[in-house]
Parts: sequence; C-alpha cells; structure tokens
Amino acid sequence: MKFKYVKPTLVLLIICVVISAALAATYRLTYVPPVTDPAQIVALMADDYAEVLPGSTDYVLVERTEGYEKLARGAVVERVTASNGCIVTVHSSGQYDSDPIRVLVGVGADGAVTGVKLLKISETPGMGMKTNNPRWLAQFVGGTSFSLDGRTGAGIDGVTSATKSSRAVVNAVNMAVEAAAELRKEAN
Amino acid sequence: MTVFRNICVILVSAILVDNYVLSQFLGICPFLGVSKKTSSALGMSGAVIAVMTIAGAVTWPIHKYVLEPYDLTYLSTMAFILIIAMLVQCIEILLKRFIPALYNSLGVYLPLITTNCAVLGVTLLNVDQYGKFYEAVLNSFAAGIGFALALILFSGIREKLETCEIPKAFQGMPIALIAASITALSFAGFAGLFGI
Amino acid sequence: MEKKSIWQIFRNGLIDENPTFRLLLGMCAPLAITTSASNAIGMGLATTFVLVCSNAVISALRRVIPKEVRLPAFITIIAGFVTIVSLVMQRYFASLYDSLGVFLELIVVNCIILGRAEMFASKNKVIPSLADGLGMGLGFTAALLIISTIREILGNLSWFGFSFFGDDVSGMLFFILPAGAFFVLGMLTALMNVIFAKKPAKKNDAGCAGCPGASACGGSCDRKEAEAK
Repeated sequence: MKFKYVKPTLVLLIICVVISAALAATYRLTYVPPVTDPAQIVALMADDYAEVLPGSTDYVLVERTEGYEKLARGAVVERVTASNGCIVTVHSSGQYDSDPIRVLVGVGADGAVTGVKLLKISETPGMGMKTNNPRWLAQFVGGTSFSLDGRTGAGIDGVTSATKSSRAVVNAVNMAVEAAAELRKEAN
Repeated sequence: MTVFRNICVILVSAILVDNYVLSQFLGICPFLGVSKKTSSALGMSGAVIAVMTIAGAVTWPIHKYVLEPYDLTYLSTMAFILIIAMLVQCIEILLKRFIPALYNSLGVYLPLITTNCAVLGVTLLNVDQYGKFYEAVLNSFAAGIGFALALILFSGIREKLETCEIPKAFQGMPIALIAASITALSFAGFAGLFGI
Repeated sequence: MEKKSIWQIFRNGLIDENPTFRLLLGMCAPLAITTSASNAIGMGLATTFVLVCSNAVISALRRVIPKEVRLPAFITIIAGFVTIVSLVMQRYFASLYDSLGVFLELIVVNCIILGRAEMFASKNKVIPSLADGLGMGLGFTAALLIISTIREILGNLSWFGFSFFGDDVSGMLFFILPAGAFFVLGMLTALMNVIFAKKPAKKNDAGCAGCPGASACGGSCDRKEAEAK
C-alpha cells in the first residue's frame, strides 16, 4: 500500500527541486541590489529632485525608511533637504490599486509646494492613471493645504470617476507638506 | 476601536466595494461556469469560503516567517498554489471520509477550486496588503463571502434568464455576460461606503 | 482521433477553438487587463510564453510523470515558468510589471494553460504541443488585443497610450469600468456566435472543453455524459 506512493512522490519532489533551482538561478541573474549609500541615492534621483524643486542644489538625504522598496502605505518614506527647500517622498494610501502611489513633492522654503511628480503609479488606465498628468499635478503648485471639496484646503479638481486615486494623491501631498514643515523646524 | 474599524473596513471592502468578482475580476471562470443553477452556486460558494479562509490562514504565516526571512519570496507563487492544491485534496479526503453527505453535494466542485483565480489571488494580495495575521484571515473569509454573494445573485439572474426569449446570437454566454455587466454596475454603486 | 497537421493544430488554437471566444477559458485576464492595449499585449505574450514552454516540458515529460501526481506536477512546472516570466519582467519591463499586478502571477491558474496541459500536451508529442501552445497563446493574445482596443478607444479615446484628442478629453468611462469589461466581452461573444453560426462552438457552458475544472477532474463530466447515453 505504501510502496505505490514512493515513485509519484519522488518524481514530484525531483520536479520541485529542479524548478526551484531554475528559479533561484533566474532570481540571481535578475537581482538588482538596492542602493543604500546616501550619496548614490541622491545621485540617482537628482534629476527628479530638480524637477519638483526647481533651481535646487546640495541635496542631503535626511532619512529613507527601512525597507523602502517594500510597500509602506500612507507614510513618508524619504526626506531630502536642498538649498532652497526640501523634497519629501510619500507612499499614498486609499488608492484604487493595492500598490501605493509613490508621490515626490518639492516644498519651497516658504512652505508652499513647488512641484509634484508621481514616481510609481499603477492605477486603472484611463481613470486613476489620469492623475499622472503634468497639468493635473500642476494644480498643487503654490499651495500649502489641499482637499477635493475645497473645504479644508485649496480645492483640487479630482479626476472624473477616479476619486480614490485623486484623494490618495491629495492626502499624500498634504502629508508631504507637513513633513517638510517638520524638516524646517528640525533644521532651525 | 481601530481594530473594530479595521475589521469593518476589510469586510465592507472585500464583500461590497471592491468585490472580488465584480470589481477585481478574480474568480471569473467559476463565476461564469458554475452559475447556471442556484443549487450548484450554493455548493460552490460553501466550498470556496472554506478553502479561501484556510488557504489564507496557512499561506500568510508561511510567507511571513519562512519565505521573507530567507529571501525566497520568488518561490511564493509556486508554494502557494501547491499548498492550495494540497489543501483541496486534503479537504476532499476528509469530507469523503467523515461527512459523505456533504462530500456528495460539494465534492465535484472541490477540484475546480484549485484553478480558481480568486483563491490564489486572495493569498497573493494578502501578503502585499496586510501586516497582521487576523487581517489576512479576515480578508480571505470576506473575499469568500463576496464571491459567494456575487455567485448566488448571478445564478438567480441566470435562472430567470432561462425563461426569457433571447435572440439566437446572445443565447448562453453572451446574455450572461451582459447580465454580469449590469450586476457589476450595481455593485459599483457601493463605492465610497465608509470612506473606502 | 484523426491526425492533424502542425499548421492545423496551430490554426485550431488561433481561430476555431480560440480560448477566449470559443472555449471561454481564462476569462479573468481578458476582463481585468484590457483597459489598455499595451498592457493587453504584454499580458498575452507573457501567457503565450508560459503556455508554449509548459506545453513543451509537460509533453516531454509525459511518460515520466505518474498519473497520481499529474496535477501537482503540471502546476509546479507552470508555476516555475510564470515565476521566471515575472522575475524577468520585474527587471526589464518594470512599468508593465506594475500595471499587470497580481494577474501576472495568476497566469498559473489560467484555465487555458492547465486545460491544454491536461487535454493536449500530456497526450501528444513535443512539436504538436508547441504548435498547440503557440496557437492557443496567440489566439488568447489576439482576443485580448481586440477587447482592449475596443475598451481603450471607446473609454479613453486613445490607443496604445496615444491619445486621439489630447489628454483632457475623456471617452465613455463605462468601458473602463468593470461593468464595461463584461459588456464588451458579452457583445463580442455574441458577434463570434453570429460569425461562426455555421460551425457551432464545440460546447456550450456544459461539456469539458469549456469547463475550467476539466484539467482538475480529468474530463469526468464528458465521461459521465458518454456513459449516460
């Protein structure tokens, strides 16, 4: 009775081992080690930083949260100070897709937003993805507090039928502005 | 209080607002295939709820305590689907042995659950979205309920459709899909419930 | 079973038994991924790759795999190829990987792949299995392309990301919503029924070829039907 289970189990085990080995090999081949050196991080991101905080130099990485590549939600994940302001990266929460939107916000020395860029977004094409439009993101420039209904901050026109995505970005930018204010207090 | 709120959000989200079948498109194959009769829909639903909950409860700890620490997350797809296949096999054997009546009514649907995208989908989404065990298990259970809700509602609609005169080209699957479209629209109306 | 030529097997998968419109297998992806034509092509090609490779390997190993562990063995092989595609895509096509999300991993339980493994690859030689895999995979990709073209053009007034009237203009959002996916698929299936009216689909909703569990139960429904007659 037991004997007839030996061969099938053995074959299955061999297949599993061979495939796991193949997968391990593929993983090694495609592995990109995460960048941890602050100078390297800043060098890689310098163009994006300059885009959201025009005319800035001397980037100093203040903090990048542990497990940056893992998916934190509704949290500030990176803070950078620059010559004329700071740049904050926030992972959104409440967006449509399970993966958060990575929002890069530049905040000037006066506390107003100078630029917003979406580094990683995987919302529904045609709906949530429309927030990834430079003209839509330009709505944030110059303000300090935002909301979709205009009641608790400057009104942002949400993308039609993409309320969750729009709200997620708005909340992320608000979070970034607060984090920037704290950064300025710490610096002084 | 936040735990309670968490529970509500997970339940409402998985069952109504982001219903796994009608909004996230998981489990479409059995949704379209098994919904011709309400009795088979009920049977399938029961089996799915059970398998999903147990699968969620088993795969989440394995991912968190075995795969993640040893940097083996790329094996998760393979591991999860094998676990689900084994679970289904075990449940089938147990049912056959101990509750033959239940096995006879549910038994034919159990092998189908292995290829149900919703079961594997729930386990994969759990590890991404939920950091606590009870959240993962609750989400799996709620996903099963959501699947059951969609399936049973839809089978009722399809049974009604049988009595209608339908143009030849639409008979069978096409009219079922159009009916599913309207059902999905109605579920989209839940958007914004509890601020989700 | 009559001997089919390689070309006939390929054509079968592409048109006569197109997995999405005729066999109605693997429906999760055609509904979820088709809001954008570029995503659809990516998904279709990834599925085709997995289908071709798994068909080939399973066919090569068909005499070696014992009957009892047939299903777990098939699943493991398919899961292996899916993970390989996923790892490579994560590295070289990161934005496509983000867009596809969990559906890339769900290729493992795509009824088409398991179904063909059970129905064809485990019973035929390697070259015909390759042809079958390629035909079914490309048929699936073509179906995804058709559905996504309709949804993207009507829903977003763009195609492959190229906007016809500029970013600010929206199309009929209904087609981007989940409800629109069901609707488009329903209409297309009806259209296929009209086109193929002379050659009715090999099965309706009953019957093994259309059943997502055929691979799991090994065609028991067909056998029961045959016995009942």
